[in-house]
Amino acid sequence: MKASRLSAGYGRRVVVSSVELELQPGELTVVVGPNASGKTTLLKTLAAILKPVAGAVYLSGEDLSCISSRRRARMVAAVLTGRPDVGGMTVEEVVAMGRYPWTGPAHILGPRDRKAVEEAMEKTAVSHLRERRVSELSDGQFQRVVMARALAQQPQALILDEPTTHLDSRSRLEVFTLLRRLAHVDGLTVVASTHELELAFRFADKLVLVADGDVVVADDPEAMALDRRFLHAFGLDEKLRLSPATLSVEFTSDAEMNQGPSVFVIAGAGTGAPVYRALTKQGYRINTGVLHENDIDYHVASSLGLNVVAEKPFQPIGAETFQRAVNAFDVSDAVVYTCPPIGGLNVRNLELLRKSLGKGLPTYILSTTGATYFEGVETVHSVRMLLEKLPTAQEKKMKTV
Amino acid sequence: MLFVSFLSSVLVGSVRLPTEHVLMHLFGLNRDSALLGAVVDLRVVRTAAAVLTGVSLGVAGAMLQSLFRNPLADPFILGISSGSSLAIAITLVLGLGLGFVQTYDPYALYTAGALGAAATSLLVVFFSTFAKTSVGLVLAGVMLGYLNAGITTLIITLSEVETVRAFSFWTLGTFSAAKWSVVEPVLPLMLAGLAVAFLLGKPLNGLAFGDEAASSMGVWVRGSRVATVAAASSVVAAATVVAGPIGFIGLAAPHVARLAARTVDNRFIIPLSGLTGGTLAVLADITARSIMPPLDLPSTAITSIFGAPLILVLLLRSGRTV
Repeated sequence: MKASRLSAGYGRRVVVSSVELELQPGELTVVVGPNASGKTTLLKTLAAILKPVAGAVYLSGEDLSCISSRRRARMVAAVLTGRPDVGGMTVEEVVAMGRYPWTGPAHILGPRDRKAVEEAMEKTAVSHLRERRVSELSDGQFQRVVMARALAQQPQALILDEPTTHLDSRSRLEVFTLLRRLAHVDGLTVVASTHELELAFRFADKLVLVADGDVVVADDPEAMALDRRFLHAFGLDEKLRLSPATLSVEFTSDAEMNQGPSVFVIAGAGTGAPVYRALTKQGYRINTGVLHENDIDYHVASSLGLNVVAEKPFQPIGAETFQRAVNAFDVSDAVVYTCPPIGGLNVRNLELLRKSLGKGLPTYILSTTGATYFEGVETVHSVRMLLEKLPTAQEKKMKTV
Repeated sequence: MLFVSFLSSVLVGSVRLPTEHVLMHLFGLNRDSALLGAVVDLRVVRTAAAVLTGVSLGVAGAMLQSLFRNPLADPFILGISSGSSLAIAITLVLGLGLGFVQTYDPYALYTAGALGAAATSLLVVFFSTFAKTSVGLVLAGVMLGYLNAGITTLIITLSEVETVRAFSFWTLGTFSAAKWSVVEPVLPLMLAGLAVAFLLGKPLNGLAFGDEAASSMGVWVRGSRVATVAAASSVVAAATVVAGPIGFIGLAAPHVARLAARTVDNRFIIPLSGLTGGTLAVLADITARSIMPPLDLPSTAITSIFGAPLILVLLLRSGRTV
């Protein structure tokens, strides 16, 4: 499937312009973009439901806007959003509607048609629902039925607009797994749009960004994670952060919201992450350290936008770094020690704990295993308990007054 | 069911006739008495007219409900029937006044009726793009119906006594005036409309998925819509020429058909709705002339009395979704 100098829109109004796309059979292309960016318009134009404002869409060398709707429907099938009012039909009847471009005026199914319907229902795992009325289906089941209907058209290209909206995470995964199979195993050209960036990165062979009337194509989806236009379109350069390593999105805490007491968290190896998130939610300002730059806690803390005292990977904590952590104590109202595993490289974190006790700061040890590490220091056993002990924003205000 | 009601319709009437004589005459076994023959022939024509009207309205109702994706669509409610009678009234008044047409020229009346129906249908289609809810569409239709009826009344009131008498046959909505001379000419047009209607089952099934999804399945959306409006207008006009605007058969028949057949497949529902409509029309006609014999009530009164509550029930049931 190929789009050249394609402008998509309604009537004269152009929504996305000068699109150059080349999609191969056996490839799953995922279209991402913020709301109202023109994803749907682009997909409908690719499916030849909308006429291109300019340019053309070719499939197997044929201009889709120049062939009969019947022939077109044998070549490209579309799954659109919304739940049409066909509640009275059975699943099998709906899937059989996919044979529309193949049957005669009375829509009587021949043996080939029946076979296509059966195969489509098998691929989407809806065979057992065949007698059910569409109105009784869950959203996930309905989506699979509509996909079966599209497959019954036996198209070369399958175009889906937001096939995972309103679905729970398991159904979302099922839909994308199915799409990947249709592309890789059955050799279809599959194009789907979605809001779920994480799904898009994980499943796309090719990633297409639609934003501000422009279309950006990335043959390597991972490259998109570094693209400035992409980050800007999704606001990933502001309050949201996308980590290129794990391709997951974290929210940066809002500076205005986090005016609460300042807490220093001594963490490492993932023991800090739940504490960071819980404290951020409650509006605490957080300093944390000493973390190594290859530590998962470092990763979480920096995507949350916390102040991190960090040491270079695989280096013992140096004196200068240690001093920076101690200095941070001066602006902290409390210290939390999350019992990280201690080894040769981060042994000075223990020293840091002793320093805070020496300074007389309120210090808490979070030990989720239940063991008591240090006599004489208050030990809590869950993040919830910790939150009860820490000074609240109100208490802090009273003190300053 | 249709056959049984057809027979009973011929058997029942204000002149009591022995059943076996009527049956024998019908099947050509014993054609003796002139009086008997005359009465029976009259009833056969009348019943045939009722069947044709009912079938037309049933088929048109099924098509319109599917096209508008609205369980309340019906040629009468959407004002299509009254559009047809308005056009007939105009033709009668102008035609008679200017001497273009004869009083009972069914061809001219049919053409006018079909144009009136089509014009109203197109207006309803136009409104339905704004009024997206069931209630909105029905309101638009009812208002169009009132408008048509108002203009019709105005025209009739202002015209001569002769014309008024000629027109009164249609506005009453009764099969009592049916004559072969009226039924025969519109028959081919009605049949053509029905033939097109049966072919529209497949595209209408596709359109149920929404215009864009239908288009992606290979439905020629605009063509199917135009054909549906044309076929519905054609049969509604035929029904209106024969019997005047008859309400609610077009509404009830598709629902009865869907309930009975337990499917929403238009390939079956459209013909079934036609059969149901025919049966309902004959039953209404029998009722109309049996309640207070020899008084002949307008059938539309009967269908309205039974049909109006049906609409209320449908509205209440769909109240949450419209």
